[in-house]
Amino acid sequence: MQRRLVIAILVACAVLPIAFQALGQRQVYWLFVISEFYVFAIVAISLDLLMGRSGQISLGQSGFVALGAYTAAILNQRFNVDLPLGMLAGAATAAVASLVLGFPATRLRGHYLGIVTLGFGIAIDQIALKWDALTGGDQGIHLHRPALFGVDAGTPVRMYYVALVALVVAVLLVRGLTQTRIGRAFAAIKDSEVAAAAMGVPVARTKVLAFIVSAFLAGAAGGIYAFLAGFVAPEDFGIESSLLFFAMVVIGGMGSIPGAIGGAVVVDAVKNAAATVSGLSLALLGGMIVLVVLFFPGGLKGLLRTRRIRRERRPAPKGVVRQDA
Amino acid sequence: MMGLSKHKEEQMQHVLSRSLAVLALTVASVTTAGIASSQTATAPGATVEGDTIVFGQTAAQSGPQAPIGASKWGLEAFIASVNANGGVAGKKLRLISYDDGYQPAQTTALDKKLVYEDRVFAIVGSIGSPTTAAVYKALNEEHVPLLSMGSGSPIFYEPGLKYVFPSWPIYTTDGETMGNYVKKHFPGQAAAVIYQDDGFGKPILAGIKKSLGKVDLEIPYVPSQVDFSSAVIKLKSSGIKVVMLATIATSGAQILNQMDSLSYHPTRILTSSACGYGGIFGAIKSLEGTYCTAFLPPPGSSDPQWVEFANAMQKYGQGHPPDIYAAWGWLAGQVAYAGLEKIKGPITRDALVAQLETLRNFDTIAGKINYSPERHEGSCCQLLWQAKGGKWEIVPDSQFNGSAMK
Repeated sequence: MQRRLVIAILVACAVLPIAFQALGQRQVYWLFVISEFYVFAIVAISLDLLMGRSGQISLGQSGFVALGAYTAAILNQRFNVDLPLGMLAGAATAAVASLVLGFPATRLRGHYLGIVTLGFGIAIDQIALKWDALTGGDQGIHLHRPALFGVDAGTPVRMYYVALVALVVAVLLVRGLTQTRIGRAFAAIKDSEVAAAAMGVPVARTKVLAFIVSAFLAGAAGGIYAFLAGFVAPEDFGIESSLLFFAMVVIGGMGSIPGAIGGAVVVDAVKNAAATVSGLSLALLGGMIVLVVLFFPGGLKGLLRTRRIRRERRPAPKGVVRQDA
Repeated sequence: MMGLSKHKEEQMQHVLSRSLAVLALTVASVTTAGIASSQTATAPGATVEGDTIVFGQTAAQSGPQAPIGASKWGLEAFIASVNANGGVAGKKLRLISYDDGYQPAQTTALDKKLVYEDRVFAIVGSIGSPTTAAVYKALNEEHVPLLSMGSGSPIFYEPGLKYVFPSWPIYTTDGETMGNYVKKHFPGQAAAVIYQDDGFGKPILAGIKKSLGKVDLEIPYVPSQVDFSSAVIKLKSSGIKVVMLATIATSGAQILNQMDSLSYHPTRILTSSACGYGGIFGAIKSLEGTYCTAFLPPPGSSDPQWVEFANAMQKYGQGHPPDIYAAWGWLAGQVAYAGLEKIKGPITRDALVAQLETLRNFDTIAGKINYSPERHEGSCCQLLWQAKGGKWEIVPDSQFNGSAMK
């Protein structure tokens, strides 16, 4: 079932632009919205790696996204650097900057770490605003049309595939990582740092590594976003963005890639609905977070698991033998 | 148990790698089939078909900047007034307005929705410098008119932006209006500027310095700053007699209130963006005597343009007051209508642009506006209001004409 679902979703995503041909020029908007969602999903996965897998709270993830976006934008604007190199440079910059947070993380936990990461997010936003000789200040930076190895990638369809491939790569990377020794070390630290240390896990190094990988992915997402939107400005990377990414992970359910992606779907859908449907507002999102924390602390992931367990525990109808029985 | 789990993992890896191969194949086939290249964006709706002309707008209706989103109600009132009088060339006007929360990323997505999904004819009266900065180049390239954005940022007045028509005075005019008045009426007095350190405050500072030559003290601040006590103490201890504030509304209110709490009462001049809201006399107890630059008549004015706007707001404003923010929307409607009503024949975007570029000394609620094929200038002039007896009054002999098309 799970195997068929994964294939079906991937094939559906891959052929979506063909189906969207029927929309005519309307597809420009829809492809942009879905591409943007893929980018946000990468950020949600990156944050989930940090929070859900290694148990470290971050309220400043948009700071890493900003670093990736600005690095790509500055390189593109000044040196005409194209998309792959811009994205990788953005990811690398964010990964290097993550050391700033990674080392305090070795000493801090819980709320205190949350405050430090929050400060980091605010600082990046303000640096982008103040250092206008480099960042354009509040006027932002307009990028040149994106290119992919010398080929124009600026059409909505091509940017869609760039974002989709990036998301799939991010999923494979995180999934692969969680199945390695490093992933098990993340899980051990999340459960108990003392026990992990007793088992020989280098706690400090592993926590810093979680920050680096998470920041790398968020920075890559920022780099792609810069090319997708064609413009970056400090207002897009403030505390509100960090909290939206945080909400994606909480609503989706921590420690799960499908959960992070599901959370991104919900938050992005509510955000877009609040902007376009009169009478709806982001307060709806706030209410959802409260409900999830109070009644479904496991988020979408927990909700689906509970339903599956209930279904499995339900007695089978007479004459039917469960395959897993 | 372990064996099963390992088997499942291998199965999933297999599925994912196969799926990735499927994805790669699809991407390659779709992109090489030419579907991608056929979608270089050319905006739909370049010619009005049917009986409605649809405008699109993005304005913050949520978040800290939500008050400026009241512009929507002024634009709605203008559209309702036009429609009540038969519309334009027999066609009704309609507005689709979205809430961008003052987030440029959201503006980018919403403008794509307005242009490609809703197929609006023009973007009219969108609000905010950073939000408009995110989209003005793309709209210009897509030949979608961007009319009367709520900003005086110099980037929108650059030559070559054929489809971009600002209507506010450029921010440097704001500064020059202050500077000229100080030079004339407070000569020799120590003058200072406290300014928002961004694309809003810096051009105003530049305008002040252009007319005054120099100022005795310049104090920058960042938009998120909430405590200005050290800045106020610095102004007071430096013996500054005239303080010009290139600030947004909230920062302006905080600075003036902190001046009052420190018993510091210099001559104060605010920018137009800091004094447009209806509750300012309640928010700043020490407002009496304060000046404010303006390109609109003061609320409650007997100016015929304001009276027409206020009456329309009462009739069509859906309960929203006729304040300055709503007047921004009314102004945007006036600009769009002025171009549309001059079109003879099919209503196209290019025809609208051509007609707008013929407007000289066009009378609006914001004074006279000039456009030409070479220059899209917006409103020429600003003057000063002064707070007197709980309301704003126009200061005689305070008008500054910053137009290069005089």
